[in-house]
Amino acid sequence: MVFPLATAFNGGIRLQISDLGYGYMETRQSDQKPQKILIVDDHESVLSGTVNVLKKHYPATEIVTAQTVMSALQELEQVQPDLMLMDLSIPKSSGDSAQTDNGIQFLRQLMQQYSALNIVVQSAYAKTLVRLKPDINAHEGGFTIADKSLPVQEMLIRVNWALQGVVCTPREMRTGLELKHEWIQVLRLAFEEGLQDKAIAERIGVSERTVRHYWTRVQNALGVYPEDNKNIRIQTEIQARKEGLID
Amino acid sequence: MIFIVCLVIALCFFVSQSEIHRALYWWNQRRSRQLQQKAEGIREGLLQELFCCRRSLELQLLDYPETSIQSLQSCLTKIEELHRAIEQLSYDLSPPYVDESLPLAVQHLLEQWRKHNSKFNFEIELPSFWKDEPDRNQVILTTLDELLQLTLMENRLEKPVCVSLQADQNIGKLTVHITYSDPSALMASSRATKHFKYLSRSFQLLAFGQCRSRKQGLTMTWYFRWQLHSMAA
Repeated sequence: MVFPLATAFNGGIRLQISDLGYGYMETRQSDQKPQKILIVDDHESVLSGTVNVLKKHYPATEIVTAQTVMSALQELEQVQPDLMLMDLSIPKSSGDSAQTDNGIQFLRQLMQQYSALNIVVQSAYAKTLVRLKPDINAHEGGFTIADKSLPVQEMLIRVNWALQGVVCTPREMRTGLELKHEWIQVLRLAFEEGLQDKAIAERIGVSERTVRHYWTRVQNALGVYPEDNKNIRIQTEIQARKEGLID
Repeated sequence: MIFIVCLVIALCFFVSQSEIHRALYWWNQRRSRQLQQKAEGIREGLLQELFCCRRSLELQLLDYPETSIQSLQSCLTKIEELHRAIEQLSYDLSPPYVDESLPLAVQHLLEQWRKHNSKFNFEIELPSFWKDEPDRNQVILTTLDELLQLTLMENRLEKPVCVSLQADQNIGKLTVHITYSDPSALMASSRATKHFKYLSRSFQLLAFGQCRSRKQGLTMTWYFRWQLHSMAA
């Protein structure tokens, strides 16, 4: 395996990534510039490691931290971050023990209360997120999972994707192609009839924003994610044809 | 009088069998929970520590790209290997998805088999929705894993192993078709008859289900059936 190399360019970082399963790719990670990021993790050392990485990558961003569910809720209310990066195993309040159930319940509540919040779950065991599959599908903000086994560059890619509103959950959380009827409808209207989002929205009687939301879900189901120099819609079409979803 | 004595003896025997059954079930449940706690301990302890080591090295690499890149990269590669090994240990102690979804747990188990035994291929048919019973999931998963260990390890196969999981009304069904490459391979797998008998009996006792098998040509089919949502308290 080729280990990722990082070199400075134009004040940002250019990353060369040997991405598992996707082959070699080069990604510029400085496209999205969040103003505020909230990091939630009860491990002091994990917290400081993550803060350092994000500070280095987003020097102008305000980074706030929390170690419990209660303090995270307070910070969310006050800071209104563009993105929240959280561990799943966290204590409810200071002095409590860290439990995955707390993180799951917190996330569920969060996705209802802050439906547009971009979320990255950084966990050593994110598989329990399968309990939240319907909530993740309904969530309007970006949602990605950065397993703690990932190299820093791949973690930053997940952060950038979440900021772009991308949804990225591991394929192993699905037993096959799990697609909703309306997602397939969007694919057909776009690639069989050549309609744009606005026309698709009118045809199926939803807002244009909802159509964009459907795109991110269908792309996650097909395993299509942003790559530099590639048009994601065309990638989606190619994959949808491969799967026999469109003629 | 004799009839009453026989009746009492039969009743005592039945009660004793039922007690043994409950004790075994209790034992299995306790053991699974203990292993799950150990797996969680690994994820919350060792894996977090490794994560911190890795980030700290990666930051050094970003801060001082000119200094000893080779040795840092080799350390990072070792940490990555160690992370995967420890993660695998946590999966062995408590299989992923076993509490959340039996289909996903089966899918993960077969993925692991595929990963570690490249000579085997699987055709998998799994439902996307399943009402789960975590305690029984563990037994079903262990049964499937053991069955594959007993039937596949030293054998060559003609076709992919077909594994299907279905819920038919209130009956859970797990079916495994294995087609061997030649009669000698089939014979080799039949040598484990005693183990199959124990596996089947364990499944009956711990999953409150039934197990039978059928041989047709070079294909061996295993059927596991159980009543859904009927676990003993």
